Amino acid sequence: MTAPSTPSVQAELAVLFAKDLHIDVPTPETDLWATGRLDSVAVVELLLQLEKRFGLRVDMEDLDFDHLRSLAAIAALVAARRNGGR
Amino acid sequence: MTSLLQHWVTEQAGRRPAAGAVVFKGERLTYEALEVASNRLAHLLKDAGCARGDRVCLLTPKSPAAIVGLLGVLKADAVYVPLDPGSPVPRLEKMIASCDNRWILTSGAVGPTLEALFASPGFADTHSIGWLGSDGPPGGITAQFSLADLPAYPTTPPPSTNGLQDPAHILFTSGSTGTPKGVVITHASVRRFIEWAVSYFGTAPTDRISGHPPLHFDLSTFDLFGTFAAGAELHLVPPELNLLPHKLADLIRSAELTQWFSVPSVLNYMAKFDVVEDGDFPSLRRVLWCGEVFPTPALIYWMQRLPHASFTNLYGPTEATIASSYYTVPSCPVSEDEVIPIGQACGGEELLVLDEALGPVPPGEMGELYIRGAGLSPGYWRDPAKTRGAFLPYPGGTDPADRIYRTGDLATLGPDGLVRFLGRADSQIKTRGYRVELGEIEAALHALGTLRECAVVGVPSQDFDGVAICCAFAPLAGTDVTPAGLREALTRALPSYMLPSRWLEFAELPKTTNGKIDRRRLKELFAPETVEAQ
Repeated sequence: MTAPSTPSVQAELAVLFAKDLHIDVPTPETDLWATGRLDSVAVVELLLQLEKRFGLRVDMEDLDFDHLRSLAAIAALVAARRNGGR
Repeated sequence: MTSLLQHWVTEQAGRRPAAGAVVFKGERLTYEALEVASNRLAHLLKDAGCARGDRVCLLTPKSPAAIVGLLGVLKADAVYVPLDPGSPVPRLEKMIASCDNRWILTSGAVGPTLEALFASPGFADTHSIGWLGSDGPPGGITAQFSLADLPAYPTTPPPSTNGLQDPAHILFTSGSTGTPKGVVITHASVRRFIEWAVSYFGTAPTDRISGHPPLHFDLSTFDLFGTFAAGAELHLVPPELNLLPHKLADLIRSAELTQWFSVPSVLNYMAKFDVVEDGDFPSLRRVLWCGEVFPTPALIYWMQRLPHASFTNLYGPTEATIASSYYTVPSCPVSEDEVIPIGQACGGEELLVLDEALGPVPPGEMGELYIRGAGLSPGYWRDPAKTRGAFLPYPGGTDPADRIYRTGDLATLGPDGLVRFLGRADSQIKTRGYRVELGEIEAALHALGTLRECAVVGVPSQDFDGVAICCAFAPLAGTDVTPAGLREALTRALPSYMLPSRWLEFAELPKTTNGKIDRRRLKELFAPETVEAQ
């Protein structure tokens, strides 16, 4: 099975943010923290939805702040995990 | 002699100049450095025309420079007004306009906010920027001075004529009609609490104290001046760590903090993700919380893991300065249903549980909670009507200065002499420790012009964040409205902690038999939608 490319993951994440988290993200590079889009409640919901929608279990303790900075960063994390990386 | 808040720093700088005062992300300011920089800033502000009693807005994330800023304002006999740099521009504009100030001390990623504020010629003509960053201000922003100008000014404090009854700061809280209200806090009120707290908790120069809340949150006043009064060291917690509970735990370990003070949602978040080990944080002696109810299961989690620490619930609205009552939990609760009291009055305070006629209710019965004592604010900034509504003469008293503050909280006074919080008498809620008037959110939603009807209710959450803000809405015919679109539009009017997290769309909102929006029904509809982390 080929891993989906990062852009398609980004598109799926944008849907996840809009539909599940009710957060509009203008571009994949938008700084989610600096623009006040991400808080701890959204992070918890994000981890839950990554598992539901992507079947991807991401443990909180493996997360670093940079993983959450933008949709592009989250997409890179998702792609890496799908390829078996950490 | 120590009398005003800034004098604690002066006293420590004289006694232990090389001791650490503030630590943040690898930066460390000694008491001497803090004293000298804030003295210089005070001279600069006075030279720039800042007069006694002038308001100076602080629009900056917390940092050592921000603390130099607020001390400099106090030393110029002026009043600092800490504002949330994450707040949307229209809301900031309202708060700044009501301050009637000239100076805005600022730093950090505030470029777009400043540009938007100064785009209005009226604003630009009447306001000036002092840049608190070590680098220059962002492009397009003109600052009248920056920290680089400080070395030209004297290192000793300027002469001061302020007294204890003068205001030290103004803190804005959510207002039910859509306009935030400014609470005026005097030097005397802060001193009263700090002196009690340093004595009760035994704060010492060896303490390393967390600085978790942002500066516009009144709890930060305790962190700052509680640290300086004792000559301890304040460790500012980088706000981005709030996303990652294990990083917060790492900070407590690596900084060897001895006191942690935050809103309960942070402690709850750390418990939920189980980031605290048995016997963790061996340096930590005190865990304190304030701002909302700390769920007992999470308290049990913490107390079981940290048998070496004490756990204290502090309670009090901004209007009564930091906290008015305390309860140190004597032993780990046995049952998860146990209600943790808000306890008994701090020194110089009195808690009164009164009925509608302002008479005391019998022990064990519910009444409304009032606070009397030295912590009471003189009132809301330039709003005598709101002040009269919330600050009442003490029933049966003869001295007009003897007042009580109506908290809007419902409580009981038990036969054990302890007060227990039961809920709110109005539609104010607490979320992550912030006071939120649901009416302010509804006013912002109505102002969008895309909704026929809307209602915002608070629903207790199973999760760590306390109360979830839930919005029911009915779009105007012909408008294309989505929750994400509404939320995005609201970010331009409200700070992020006031944004609803749950949404339901209706053709028409449910009504009671007399035609009002049925909020009880709405709460039931929102209740099952709890978010689970695991």
